[in-house]
Amino acid sequence: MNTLTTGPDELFAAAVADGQLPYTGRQIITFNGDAKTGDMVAALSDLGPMAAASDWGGSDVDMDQVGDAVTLLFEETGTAILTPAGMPVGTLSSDMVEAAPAILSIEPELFAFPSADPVTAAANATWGLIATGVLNSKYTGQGIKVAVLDTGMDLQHPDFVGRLITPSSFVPGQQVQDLHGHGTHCIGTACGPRAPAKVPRYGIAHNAHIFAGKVLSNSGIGSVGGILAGINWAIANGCQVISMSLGSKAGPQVFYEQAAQRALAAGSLIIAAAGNDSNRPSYIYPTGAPANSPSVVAVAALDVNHNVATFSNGGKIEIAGPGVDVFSSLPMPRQYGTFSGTSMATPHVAGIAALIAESNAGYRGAALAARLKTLAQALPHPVSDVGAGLVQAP
Amino acid sequence: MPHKPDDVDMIFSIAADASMEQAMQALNLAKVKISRPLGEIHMILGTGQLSQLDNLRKLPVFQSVDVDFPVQIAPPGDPIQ
Repeated sequence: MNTLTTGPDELFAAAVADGQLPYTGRQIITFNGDAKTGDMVAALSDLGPMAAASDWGGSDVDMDQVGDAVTLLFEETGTAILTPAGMPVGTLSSDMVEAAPAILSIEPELFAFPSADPVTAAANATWGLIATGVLNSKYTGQGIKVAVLDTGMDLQHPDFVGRLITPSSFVPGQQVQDLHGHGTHCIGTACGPRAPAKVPRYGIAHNAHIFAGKVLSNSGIGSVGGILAGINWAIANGCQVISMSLGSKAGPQVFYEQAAQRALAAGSLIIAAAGNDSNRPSYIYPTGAPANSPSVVAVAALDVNHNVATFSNGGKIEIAGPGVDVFSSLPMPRQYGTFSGTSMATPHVAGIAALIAESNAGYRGAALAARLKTLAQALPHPVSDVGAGLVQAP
Repeated sequence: MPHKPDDVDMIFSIAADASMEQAMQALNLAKVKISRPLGEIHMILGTGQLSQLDNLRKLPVFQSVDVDFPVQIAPPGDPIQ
């Protein structure tokens, strides 16, 4: 319930669940500078029960006493909060501005976060980055090339302005621009910014060179040929990490294993999602292809309590990452959203692999895979479910 | 992309002891249309007739010959692979 009495923690939890971050769901009304209190009251009175800061005299507004008000007016600043219940059904903000001359603008309310001082920084990040120790790492992915083979990327996303990005599409007739969302979300986790302007930190290797390879269409469909072409491109460009949040329900394939072995020989490590076909605890589906290839790092998904996600496949698993309720970037205008899947766990491992690769030039290919497993935090779950455990940053 | 009803996209994994040139020559002789050589991973993508598949698999320059198949992910909001 989004009312004036709803606390910020409840609002934030609801926004995460609805994928609407960084917005609270309320609107902020700003009145014209010459608007009188009477004008403001008149404009708000049509929307339903109203409270005003002056009701409390010179004291702070007590939000527990606003009753059933759907708007709260702050006369001194010429602003008001409008809850969803006060928004006329089917009416656009622009229509309301046009209808009420006293109103200058109506804009979505944003969450406010504390500045990133050492004490609060740990809380100002996604649970996945906190659980994997990313916030304590001195590495940034500098000098490391990370290929994310997926549905492409929103190349105009404001959080990636100024970043080194090399795009290429292997989907006939489609540009790299991501009209699906999956690729932008995965790239956000692996390589998103250290300090996004409006939301908690969600990206790991924030200085890495991003190779955005579109191998899945805007409908989320691809072919093995396109994926192999993407792997070939990533290796040819010297990418040390290749992240693939994709797969199919198939046994190990000769071509995937050959590609992965060639990648290792060239100093590239392929990290792939185990798949989401299980329904635990009753049914555990085997790891899909290409993650089931011996030379590919297969990634399982964990929830915030470090339990195996109900959908996470099992069997051949090397490592596990945060994969439930993962907040990251999405193509504009959505900008951000929360997804779940081994797809989301995989870029956590890929981003951390980039940090490890930066830490020592010897960590390439098979040595990088070994280091990922050495650093992992052991978990009280079968190796067939989580491999070496929860991925940890160096 | 396939052009005839019997045409299919194929993935040719080249044998370790064979070269890219040898593999391409073999495909040309078999009238397989090469769409993309993948030198880094020692493979070739091409289009040929499904009826050729068994004969192509017998060529010693290839470790494996497979028909391409689709990969699909679930829509956002569902668990995604």
